Amino acid sequence: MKTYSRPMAGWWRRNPYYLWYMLREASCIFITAYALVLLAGLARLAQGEAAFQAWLESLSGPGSLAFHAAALILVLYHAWTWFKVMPKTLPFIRFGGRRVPDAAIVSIGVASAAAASTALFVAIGWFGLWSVQ
Amino acid sequence: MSYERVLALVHSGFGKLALLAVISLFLFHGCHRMYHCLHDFGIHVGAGLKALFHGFAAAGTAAAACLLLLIG
Amino acid sequence: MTQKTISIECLRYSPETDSEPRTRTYEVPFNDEMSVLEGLQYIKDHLDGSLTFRWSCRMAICGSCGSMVNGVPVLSCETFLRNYYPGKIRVEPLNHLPIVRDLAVDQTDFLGKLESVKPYLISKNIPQNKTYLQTPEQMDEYYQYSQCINCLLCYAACPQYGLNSSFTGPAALALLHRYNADSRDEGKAERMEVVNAEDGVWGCTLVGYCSEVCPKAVDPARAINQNKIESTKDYFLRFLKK
Repeated sequence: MKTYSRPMAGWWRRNPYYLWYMLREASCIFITAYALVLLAGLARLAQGEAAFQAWLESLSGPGSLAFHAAALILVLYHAWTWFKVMPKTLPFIRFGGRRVPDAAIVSIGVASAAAASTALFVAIGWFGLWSVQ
Repeated sequence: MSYERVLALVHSGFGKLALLAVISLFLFHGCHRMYHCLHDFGIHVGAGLKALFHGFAAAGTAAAACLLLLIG
Repeated sequence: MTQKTISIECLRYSPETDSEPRTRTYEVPFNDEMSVLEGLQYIKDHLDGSLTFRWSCRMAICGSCGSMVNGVPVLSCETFLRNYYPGKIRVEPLNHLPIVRDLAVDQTDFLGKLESVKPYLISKNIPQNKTYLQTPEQMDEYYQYSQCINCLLCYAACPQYGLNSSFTGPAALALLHRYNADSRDEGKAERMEVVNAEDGVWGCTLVGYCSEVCPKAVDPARAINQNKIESTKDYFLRFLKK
């Protein structure tokens, strides 16, 4: 039977759902990049105070600020999509005889992440790393 | 985020673990996703590329571990 | 009162004469109650008898009428022209599947995948009185996956299937899970090979569009990702089995 198969090239541009999916996947580029920034900072720390200061100053350049802003937004989007998808990876959870709805699982996940992040911020402040100077 | 304070954090056991975890997990998660992303773009992926991406993450992890030990 | 019309652009493909698909636009008289399927039927009955498309029940239960409407996989019998009017609508065959003629796609690949997941109860211990007992909670574990009407909208939605047609795919894997999750079934071990394959559950990257488009809320994305856990457990614990 003669059939025609349509090409897949550019598939992700043809539907907004796919675009959001590709953004979710692309966010991992920024995650890798951020890890490398931290690694660089660690290396500079090992090289002594002068090197570390220089690295710190480079972080406040416009390119760096743009990168960090984009990375923050994408990491937040990454976390959000992760929690949105989390119920699909779990077996049905029952509580009091009824099935826990997916929306509840997502809310609990996001709330826990927000709480953990807040706790981390407070801890960083307490350790005195947060400094305006 | 002065040199002294960051150094103090990295000297602590907690700091070492936290920094290693963040760098390592971000690298592995990021590289793993990027590897799968190639397939979405239609690039044929095989064992070679898999080794490259995950090897990169492993190398980054090793580098972080070495640096943390170096700093003491 | 002048008759309202809506433009329906259809993908056309005749294997005898065409080397690739083309499109043809039809002006179809329109009223608020018409489904896309009824639009296609009007075209076939009054404008162009050569237009080929599948349909049967007209009520979203047979799974025959799946097609792409403005780039989204839908059942044409439950998609209404009023939601697109006065804009033009574009009707194409389901994505990612080979086109046989016009809007009809080749389902052979799916049928093979369906057979491969052993979509039937496998039970060695049939009860003495031939009646299984099952609580509502036990049925709830698999019920939604049993609602699949094999309409293939999920295959049209799944880019991983589009990129690699060896991927077992959403509906087949959802049906596999339907049987694994059924308390009456004992065939999980027999189905593990399909689950564990690179083109089994591991072909899925959780795009999730399959569950979005499913007209029966089967949620194949969930079925597949439950089995990623099972597959991982199976991989690590396989040394504990004989």
